[in-house]
Amino acid sequence: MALWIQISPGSDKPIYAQIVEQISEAIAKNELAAGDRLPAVRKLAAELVINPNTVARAYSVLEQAKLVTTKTGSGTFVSDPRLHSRDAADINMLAERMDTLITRGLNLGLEAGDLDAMFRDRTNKFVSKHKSEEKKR
Amino acid sequence: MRFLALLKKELRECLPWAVSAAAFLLLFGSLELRSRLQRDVDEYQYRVFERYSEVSGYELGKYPLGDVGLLVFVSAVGLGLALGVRQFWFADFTGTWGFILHRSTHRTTILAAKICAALISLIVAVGLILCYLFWRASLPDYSPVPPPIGSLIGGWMICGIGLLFYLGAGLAGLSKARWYTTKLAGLGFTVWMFFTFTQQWTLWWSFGTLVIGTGVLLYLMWETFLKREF
Amino acid sequence: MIDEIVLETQGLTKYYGNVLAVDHIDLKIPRGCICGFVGRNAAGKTTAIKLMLGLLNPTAGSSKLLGCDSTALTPAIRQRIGYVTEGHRLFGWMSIVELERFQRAFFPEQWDGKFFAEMIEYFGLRRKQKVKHLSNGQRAQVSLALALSPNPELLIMDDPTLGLDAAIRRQFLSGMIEIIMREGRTILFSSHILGDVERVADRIVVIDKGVIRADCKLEQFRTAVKKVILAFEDSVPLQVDIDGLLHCGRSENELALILVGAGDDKIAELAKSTGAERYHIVNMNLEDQFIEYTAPTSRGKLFRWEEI
Repeated sequence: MALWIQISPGSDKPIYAQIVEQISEAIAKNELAAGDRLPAVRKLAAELVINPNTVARAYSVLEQAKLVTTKTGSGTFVSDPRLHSRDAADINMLAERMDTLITRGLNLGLEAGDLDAMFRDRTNKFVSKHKSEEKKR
Repeated sequence: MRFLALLKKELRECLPWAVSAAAFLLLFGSLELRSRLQRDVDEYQYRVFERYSEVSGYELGKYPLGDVGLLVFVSAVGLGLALGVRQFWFADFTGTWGFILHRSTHRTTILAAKICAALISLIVAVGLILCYLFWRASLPDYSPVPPPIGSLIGGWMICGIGLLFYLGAGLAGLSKARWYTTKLAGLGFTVWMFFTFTQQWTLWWSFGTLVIGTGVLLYLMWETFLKREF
Repeated sequence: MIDEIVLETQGLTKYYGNVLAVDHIDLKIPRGCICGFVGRNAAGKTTAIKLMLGLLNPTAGSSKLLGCDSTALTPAIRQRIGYVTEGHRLFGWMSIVELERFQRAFFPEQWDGKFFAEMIEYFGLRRKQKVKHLSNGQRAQVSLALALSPNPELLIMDDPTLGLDAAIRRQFLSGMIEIIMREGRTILFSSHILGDVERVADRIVVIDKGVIRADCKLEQFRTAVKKVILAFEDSVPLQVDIDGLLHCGRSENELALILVGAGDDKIAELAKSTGAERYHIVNMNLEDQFIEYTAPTSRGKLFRWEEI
C-alpha cells in the first residue's frame, strides 16, 4: 500500500494541517487500515522536503484525535477504531463541522432535502469502499 | 596547511600576469642584448647596464632610464600594478570576498598569502629573468668586459619598486574612500616614494627608501585589511 | 531547560553614511532552530547577516555567534560556522575538485569527503568542471555542498535559492533538510520565497526597513496574523480600536482589518461593538500574511510584535 501525501506550501492551510487532513481521509476511506504503519517522521519529511518537526506535529495531532498511536521505538500506527471510545467532545466537534457544511450548502442555495441526499450518497460511497476493501482482506 | 592552500590559490591567480611579465622581459631583454651585440663601439657594450654602474638613485635620475633597466622597470611596475589590482580590486567585482574571508584562519594569514604570492611572482618573473639577462651579458661571447655586479643589484632594486607599486595599488583597492584622490592615495604615496628613491645619492640610501616605503605601505595595508568592511 | 543561544544580537545597528540599513536588531536564535529570515528587497537582510559574520562593522550594538563577538570571530569559531554567500560567489577559475581541495584544507578533521562526493553526484555535476562554466543553479549546488561538508554547527545562508529554478530549489531544500536531521544543527537563512520558508523553517524573523517586525515560531505567526472582514448594513465606522490592529481598509460597506494576535473571541466582541452585521475571518497563506504584515501602515506607525 502506497501512501501518497501531497503538500502545497502556498496554501492557506498550514502544512501540518494538510498532512493531518490527508491521513485522516486515507484512514476514513480505509486506504490505511488499522495497524498499518505510517512512514517514519524523517522519511516522510525527506520525501516531502519539509521540516521533520512539521511531520511530528501532524502525527501528534492525529494521535490526539486518537486516529493513530505511537509506540516508542517501533513507529506510528493507525489505531483500531474499536479500541478507543468516542467522548462527548469528539461528538461535539463532529456536530460543529457538520454545521459548517450545512451553512455552506444552504448559502449555495441548496434545499435541506438536497443536502441530506448528498450526505447519504457520499457516506454510502465511503462505506461500500470500506466493505469491498474488507472483503479483499 | 591553511596558509599553503591560500598561497597556492593566490599564486595560481598571479600566474597569468607573472608569465606575461616574464615573457615580456625575456623577449625584449634578449632582443635588446642582441641589438647591442651588433654595435662596434666598445663603450656601447656597457650601455646596457651602464646606467647602474654607480647603482644609486641619483644615477638613475641622472640618465634617462633605458635599455634593459627600462625593461625591468616596466615589467616590475607593470606586474606590481597588475597583481595589486588582481588581488584587491577584482574580488569587489566578483563578490568573492565573503567566500575568502569566512575562513578558519586569521585575516592576517589571508593577507600574508596574497603578499607572499605577489613577492614570489615578482622574484621569479622579473628578478630571475633579470639574473638570466645579466648572466647572458656576462658571457665572453657577448662582451670581453662583463657588466658590474652593481648593475644586477640595481635591477633587483627596481624589482623592489615593483613591490612598492603592488602595495600601493593594493592599498588603493582596499580603500573605501569615495573620492578618487583619497582612494588613490596609496598609489600617490608609492609614486612619491619612487621619486624619493631616485633622488638618493648612494645605494644604501636608495635601499633605505625602498625599505621605509615598503614598511609603511605594508603596515597601512595590514591595518586597512584587518578593519575593512566587505 | 534553557536552550543554548547560538546567535545573539543586541541593538545591532548599521548606518551607511546617512542611510540606516539596520536599526537596533535584537535577536536570539536557539540551537537546533531553523530560522527563516524574511523581508522585502533592501530590508536589511544581507547587511544583518554580514554584520553577524564580522564582514561589516556595526555602527552600534553587538552580535555574537556561538558565544563569540562577531567583530572578533576566532578561527576556531569560524570553523564551526558554514556560510553561503549571496549569489553563491566562488572562484571562477577553479574546478569543483580544486574548490574541494581548497575548502578541505580549512577543515582537516571534520571534512566529510564522502558526503561532498555524494552531493556532487546527486546534483549531476562533474568534478573537473570549472566554476565559470557552471550555471547559477549548479553554482548554488556546489556552494551548498562546500558549506555542508564540514558539518557545521551553525549554517548561515544569504538568499540561497535566489534565481534558482523550481527543481534545483527543491534539491537545495532537500540538502537543508538533510542537515536539519542532524542533531543540534542550527540554520539561519534569508529568503524571499515564503513557500521555502514554510517548508523548512520552524522560526520566522521578519525584517522591514532595517527593523525586526516579528521574531517567533512560524506556527505562531501563521495563527496570529489574521484578516477579518466586517460587513455593515449602513455606515461604516471611521474609527476601530482593537489590540493588534495593523491595517484598516475601508470599502463601501465593509471594513477589512489586519489583526495580529487577536483571539476569535476578541474579534467577535469587536464585531458586536462596531455593530457589524456579520464578520468573516479570512484564511491567508504565509505569503499573504507576510505582504499584509509588511505593507506600509495606514496609521503611519510601525507596528512591532513578537512572541517568545
